[in-house]
Amino acid sequence: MLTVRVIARLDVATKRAPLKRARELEACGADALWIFGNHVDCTLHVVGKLRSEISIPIAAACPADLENISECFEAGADRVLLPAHALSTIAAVAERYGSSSTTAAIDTIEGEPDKGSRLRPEPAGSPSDDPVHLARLAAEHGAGEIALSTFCRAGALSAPDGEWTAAISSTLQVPLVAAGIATWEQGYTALSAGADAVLARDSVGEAARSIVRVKFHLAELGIRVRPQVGS
Amino acid sequence: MSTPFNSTVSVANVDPFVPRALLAGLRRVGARPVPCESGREVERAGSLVFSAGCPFGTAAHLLERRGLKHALRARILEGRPTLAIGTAMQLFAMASDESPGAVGLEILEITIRRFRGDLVVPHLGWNIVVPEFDTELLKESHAYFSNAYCMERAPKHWSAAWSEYGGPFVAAIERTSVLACQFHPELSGKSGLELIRNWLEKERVAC
Repeated sequence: MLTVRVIARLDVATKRAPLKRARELEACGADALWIFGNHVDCTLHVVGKLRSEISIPIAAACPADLENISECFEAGADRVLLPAHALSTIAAVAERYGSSSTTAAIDTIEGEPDKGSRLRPEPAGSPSDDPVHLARLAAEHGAGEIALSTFCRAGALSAPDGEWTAAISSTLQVPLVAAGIATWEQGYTALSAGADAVLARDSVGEAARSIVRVKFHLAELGIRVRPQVGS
Repeated sequence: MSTPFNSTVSVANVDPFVPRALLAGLRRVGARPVPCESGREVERAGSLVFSAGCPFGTAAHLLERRGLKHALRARILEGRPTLAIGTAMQLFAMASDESPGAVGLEILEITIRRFRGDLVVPHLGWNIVVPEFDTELLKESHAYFSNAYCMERAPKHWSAAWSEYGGPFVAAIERTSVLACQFHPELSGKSGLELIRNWLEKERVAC
């Protein structure tokens, strides 16, 4: 049986040594590392360093630019996270590297309460203003996985929205990752709503312990997780 | 983990992009990966890793075009040390649902099938691998998969390990010094690296 993935987020902009943190996360049972950075060069450098020491999958958030994407794979990423609205890039990457190499990231922001849709994809001007439709479009263009993040109107990352998670997962045949998990309860809610994996937040110094906690509690609730390495 | 084999391992990658994780994994177990780009090099290689990430039809076409097909087929049939990963394992078959009309290495009289039923595909993540009683290298462990197509039945005269996703499917097969994995040992943490290391070690002991 496939286990639920608990993915660790690593922000390369934070000052603590990314390699040390990545080693801790791998040892604590993280099922994959997703690397986020503000500068592509910095992300590539970190991915390259991690790849030589880490033996779990590494995904890198990448601008929708084929040259950058190629560099990400060359550096050692196994998949790239691309904005879901970049449909033509998703299609090109799927054709060149296979659909399993792409995760389409949908960032949603809580909309105005009086405007019908509670969540809308960011940035404005996406091919669809409906996250469910956008997820379907990304999958049709070759994305092998969808990641859903929700931000409050002030810009802070929120816990995954159970209703939207359920709406998206029920229309997709590719895996769905619920991003922004801060507690095991949020993880359980997202998985119950149909997510196939959860992406924990990167709280420096806490991330490794939070992976252990999330996996422990999910296992207690009967959800299959990969045991911690060496346990 | 890093045992200094100091042994050279040839890496025949079907598509032009060689996964860094594979090279890093080989180095971490003490091997020295070198590219293997022609049929002649495939014939001469001692231990050879055969990897493919592209769809079955593309891989089959590239094998033919790059002149690797017959040399690969011969060394696998002879039981020479070969580790096949991902689509490379599927290429042992005759054909695949993924690419109608494309012909594999025709080593196994099997057709690769798409996962059946109302499943989320690709089968992406960690699954448990359970070997049959007679495997030498394959042990029960969690391994990382990324596949939409699979081998539904084990080939005759090979030892197999199984996983389950909507039903049982073949996670890996082994015979003599040939090991083929649907999962990615290079991305499967400590147990994956141990598998690569044991495959290399087996060949070293045999020599």
